[in-house]
Amino acid sequence: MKAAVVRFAGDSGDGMQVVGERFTDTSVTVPNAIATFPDYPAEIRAPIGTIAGVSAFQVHFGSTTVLTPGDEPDALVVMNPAALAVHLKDLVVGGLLIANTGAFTEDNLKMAGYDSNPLEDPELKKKYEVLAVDISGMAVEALKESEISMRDKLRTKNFFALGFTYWVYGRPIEPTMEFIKAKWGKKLPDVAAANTKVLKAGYFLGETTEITRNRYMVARAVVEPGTYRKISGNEALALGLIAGAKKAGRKLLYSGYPITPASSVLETLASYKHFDVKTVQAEDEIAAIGVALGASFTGQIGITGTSGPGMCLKSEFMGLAVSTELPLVICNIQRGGPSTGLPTKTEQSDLLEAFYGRHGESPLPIIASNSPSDCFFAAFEAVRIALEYSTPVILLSDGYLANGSEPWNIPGEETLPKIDKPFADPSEPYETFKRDPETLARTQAIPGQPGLEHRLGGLEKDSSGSISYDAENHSEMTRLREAKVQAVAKSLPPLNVKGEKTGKLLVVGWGGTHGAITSAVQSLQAQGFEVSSTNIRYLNPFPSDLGDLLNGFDKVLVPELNTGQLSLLLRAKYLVDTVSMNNRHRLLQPVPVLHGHLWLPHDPRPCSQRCDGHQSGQPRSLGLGDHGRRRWPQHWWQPLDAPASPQRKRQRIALQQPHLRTDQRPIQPDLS
Amino acid sequence: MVETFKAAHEHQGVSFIEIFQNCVIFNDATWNPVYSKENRDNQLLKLEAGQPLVFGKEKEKGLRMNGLTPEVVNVADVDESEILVHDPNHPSQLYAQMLADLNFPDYPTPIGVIRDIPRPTYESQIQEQVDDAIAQKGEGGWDELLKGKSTWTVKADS
Repeated sequence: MKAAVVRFAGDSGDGMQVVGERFTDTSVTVPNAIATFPDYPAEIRAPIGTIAGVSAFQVHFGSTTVLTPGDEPDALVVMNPAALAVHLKDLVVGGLLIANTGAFTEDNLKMAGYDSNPLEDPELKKKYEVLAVDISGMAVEALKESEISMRDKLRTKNFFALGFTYWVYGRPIEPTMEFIKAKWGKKLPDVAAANTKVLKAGYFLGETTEITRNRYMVARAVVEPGTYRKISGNEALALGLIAGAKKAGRKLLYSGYPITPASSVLETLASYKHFDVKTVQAEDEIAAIGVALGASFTGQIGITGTSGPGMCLKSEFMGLAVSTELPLVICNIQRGGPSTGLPTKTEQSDLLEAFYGRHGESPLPIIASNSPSDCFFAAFEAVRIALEYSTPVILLSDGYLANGSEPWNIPGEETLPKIDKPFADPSEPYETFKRDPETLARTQAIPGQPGLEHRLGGLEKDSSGSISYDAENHSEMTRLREAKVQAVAKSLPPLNVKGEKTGKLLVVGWGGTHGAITSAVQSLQAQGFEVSSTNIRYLNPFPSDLGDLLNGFDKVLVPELNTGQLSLLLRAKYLVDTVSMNNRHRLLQPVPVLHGHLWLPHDPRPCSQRCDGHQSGQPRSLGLGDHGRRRWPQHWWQPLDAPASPQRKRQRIALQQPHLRTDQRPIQPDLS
Repeated sequence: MVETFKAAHEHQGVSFIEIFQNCVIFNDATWNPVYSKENRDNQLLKLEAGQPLVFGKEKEKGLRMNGLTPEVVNVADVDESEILVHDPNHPSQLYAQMLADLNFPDYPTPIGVIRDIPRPTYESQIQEQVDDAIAQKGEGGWDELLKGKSTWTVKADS
């Protein structure tokens, strides 16, 4: 088979994240392409056995490029009834269900909301291939000669499940055995021995028992030659920041306040002190950005990271950075909002806040990464733009990218460009807001140098840096700050378009939906549809070829994990009647194909009833989830690839005249 | 005031100065009971390191502890050793807190350097962390940055 999706689910204390990571690491050594999705609760530790405490880890591995962690797993490993209750509905019909009967006690069943034991339901065996194994009991039995406590013996049950799953999918157990040795071999040799024994016991259960008839083989992936490593989004982001600082010859100072899902950026950077990286855990979000801006003021590159709630708190300092035109990178690893929202669930609903979340006219460049490994390049670009254009930059990522992993073809250091932004020369007269003619950026003077004394602050100023309340000056400074952000467009690469640059339907996305959109569009292209897609990485300013691309298509579809934020921006700037697709509860699935047209999702049946499984090779999962018809307004039930309406045709002709296009208007009004 | 500013500037770390600033618009003459020409000698307690806490035109009044409470006394009436001696470097902040709480009209108002503790600054310590790390691990290079702990290679012919 080409690919498989395995989901491990259990109670928070069952070690599902550990086995998920092990399964992933083993799969990359086969080698397979992988994409992961850890899914854990926001609560630090919900009561044992409850629905709220269920933690899961999903791995999609394959012999061809894997773009998403998948939606419905082919195999589901559940360590307790609550995990079954939460995740069973996602398992594909005919999929493999491995359940730990040892945890299916009366109490646990009750906590999960079951009146009877679902594993004994004959209907279950009709729909799925059920392997009910007493994993807890077998783990303890395998360790009957070990001297560790009963509690620790029971804790190894996750490795038993892992070993068994390895056998089912023909994975080697050696990499995990090496991991166990490295992690516990020296400090806790008893634990290391126990875990190894139990891992092997799980594996051999598969070999010796006859309860499984099928072993699933996923072939080795054919990938581009190169040196690879597994990397998660936040890891990549941290490395990209360090790489950017190194190429710019600036010291990096990262200041943050812990917040899910951004905390691991701070933690990762803290282990890179020997790269001349300073990390500060500030007392709150506002202090964090204050420290970062202060660092930038003194000539370092200051960076702060947070999630949605922190962006609100940091808005005032961002305004100060815009006004003082200092380099600063603000990372927003987005999560479900508003307010405390859903800390461990992903979303991309902070785009409009990035554009407009500050009082006054305070434009700044915005970049969004589109995959875990792309976080590296997006972070690098954020540093480059912040320095070259003397501006704060917002870097958008999200929880799904931050925690998900994929293999990364490591770029050579020489492929990364040097960032050249010198400081003011003390031997020359200094004008604080004198601008480079190309970039409109100002030159920074490191404070404390004789001859470079200057004044800098949030009050409006003229080009010498002196406070000015003059109306014309304020107009001019406002215009220049906007023009500087637009000037960034000259340094941007062209859009990466999957498919032709003209056609019937263009699917435009931004951020972490890239994998799902690409996957869907590629499968439709293979069936002959005139669909193309692009992912907009640079959101402010938009790339200069975006307008032409949008006009090359009859319809533009914008799927987003929000209620239509990019869609609103595209409409405003390009006068395109975009169609918004907003289903925030699932990763996107391929747009269904019915009657030769493309319809937006309207099928209310649960996924498992719509799809016929993998055996027939048909594209699976038609529709975007079981939310029913009522969610979609009537006007969205329109064929997406039908010929353009006369109105749309007239609009396109009008837009081809440059002086009518809002995105092509000159920034300076011609007053002559 | 000049001496206070000088001391603050010389201090390594954060210095905090409270200025008894008159505001002619909102609160004019609010400090006069404390520092006007007629009142200042009897109300301001000039702090000098190693010197006793005494005030008044003839330095006739002083401060001593009565149990747990500071007390204003006539210097002539008490033993010299009972009068508190100013120590801006005193390690416990309780003394400084007590001084800061002395308020018109029950007590004189301390003026000068209340507390001055030399300590390694935050920025020097954070720089030390970086220097120590570089000394231990050597300066970080591109290979370590990009490749991390484990990689695998895919060759063209495989």
